Amino acid sequence: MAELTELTVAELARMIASKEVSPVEVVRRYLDRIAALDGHLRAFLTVCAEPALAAARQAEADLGAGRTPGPLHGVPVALKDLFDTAGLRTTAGSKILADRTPRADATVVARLRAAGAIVLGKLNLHEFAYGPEGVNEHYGTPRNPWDAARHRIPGGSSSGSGVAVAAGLAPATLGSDTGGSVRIPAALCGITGLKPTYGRVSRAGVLPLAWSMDHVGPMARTAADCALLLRCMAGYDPADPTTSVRPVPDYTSALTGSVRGLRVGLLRAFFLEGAAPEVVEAVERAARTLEALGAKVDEVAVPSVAYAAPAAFAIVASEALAYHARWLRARPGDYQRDVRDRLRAGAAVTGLQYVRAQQVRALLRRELDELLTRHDLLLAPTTPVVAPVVGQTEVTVGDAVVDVRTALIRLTRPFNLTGHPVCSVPCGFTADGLPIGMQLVGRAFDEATVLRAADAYQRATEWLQRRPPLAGAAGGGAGPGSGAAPGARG
Amino acid sequence: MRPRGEGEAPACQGCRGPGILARVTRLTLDELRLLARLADLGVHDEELEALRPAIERALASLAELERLPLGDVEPTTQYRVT
Repeated sequence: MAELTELTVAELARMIASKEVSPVEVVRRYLDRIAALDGHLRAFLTVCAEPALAAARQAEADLGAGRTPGPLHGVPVALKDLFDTAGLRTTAGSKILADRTPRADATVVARLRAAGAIVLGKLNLHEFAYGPEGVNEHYGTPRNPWDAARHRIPGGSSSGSGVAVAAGLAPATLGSDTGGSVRIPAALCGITGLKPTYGRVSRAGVLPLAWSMDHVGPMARTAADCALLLRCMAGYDPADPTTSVRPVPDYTSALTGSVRGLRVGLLRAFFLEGAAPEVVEAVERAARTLEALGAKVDEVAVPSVAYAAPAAFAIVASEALAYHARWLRARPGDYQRDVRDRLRAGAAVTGLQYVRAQQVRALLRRELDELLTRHDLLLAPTTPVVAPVVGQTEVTVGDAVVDVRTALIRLTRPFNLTGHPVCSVPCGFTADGLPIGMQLVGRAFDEATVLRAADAYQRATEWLQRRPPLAGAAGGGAGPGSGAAPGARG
Repeated sequence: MRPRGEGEAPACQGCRGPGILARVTRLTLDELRLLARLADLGVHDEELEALRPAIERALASLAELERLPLGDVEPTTQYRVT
């Protein structure tokens, strides 16, 4: 039998339900692995060892008593530390909320628990989710497990969520995505991440960055696992008035393994143009793979996409400043510097510019909706570059020197403006062994087709078989910087 | 500090053109002080100087919004709840 921490969510759920493996054993293996590796990787801010083991013992007892298991019965998950958890501190990776302990679970957390999932702990992130690098000055920046020699960023803001799955510290995690915060760490860490349609998954109990841009999504090794998790998370929630009343499909049953007949639009202008050569090569190869599997691929463009950056900035900066103004006035010194500067820069946005940005948003949505009447999916790189090293501020792409932050969110944030569902899927590696991700974009509320194509691609390729060097034998990854994050381990 | 009205003479170094969003991309210290005071952020002068690059990058980015002829495009004002 494969090592338990190598199994997918779907495999674990099946084996636990059929009593081939005990949920207690599964949770214990993950906790052992976290103890062995996370001092170095720093994916977790809080580890819930005893509550997780108690939940696993209860899950085992329920199975023994013949109770019908939920779809995630006994399966461990970990949560970005932005999701409220009853009785368990939720810090947003900040000093300001270091001692905040919510009284109730976020809706998605409650739904995962109701499906049988067991919470292993809370995960590191860019402070208050405001940064695509995933750095954290308060608790330490998680280490991208794909480079044993250099400290590379995992991508953010859901940095711990990406690292935990890539390094086998959790089979699935939750992230939030305001400009790419699920998809960027998924791409840079070589895993799968789904940003569902705006309104598909409740944001109630999730600390906001920018209300109208925030999305909640699952991260896991495979698209099939994301489908399983989404089914448990999605659906109307009276606590979040932006959630849709549409019924939630069984996404797993949509995974036919076929893309035959699907019309895929390859986004070259703006998206492939300006990406690093190895990224372009990987995405073009993926397009050819989809074609070989029976999809029809042609090249398309979104005319106004270049305006996504200023529009997204105007909206996110204004909404984030509105949320943070109270702390920014009272405790400015408690923010990490990049986040404080970014928040203060929001004061430069006028009301007029905010409305202009909403006009751009409407225009972009219209253009994408129109493209998606003729295509089932759009294909683009997730990031134009692979993971930079921590502290690097610029990257060279072709002949151009580009700011790291701007480069990382360039290709993901247009879809936060428009709200369309997007899955980031590993599609190759650089010669240095760093993962490359691609985005599959679908029609609003058509996550089923997005996941179906992602799953079919993953069945036909072997990228998911690779394991990062820092996720090797448990105990082999400890090194400089080992030790618990300050006051953070429970 | 803004917007400046169309046709109004620009009062800062970085203003270019008469557009209603006034393509301000550079700010004096006084303008930065005013900006911080309007937002009630209580930022000291030395912090404002350090913040200037971030603000000017933001302004340069925002100026892009004026380039797109948005005409009668109605802004997104409702979530897509169906």
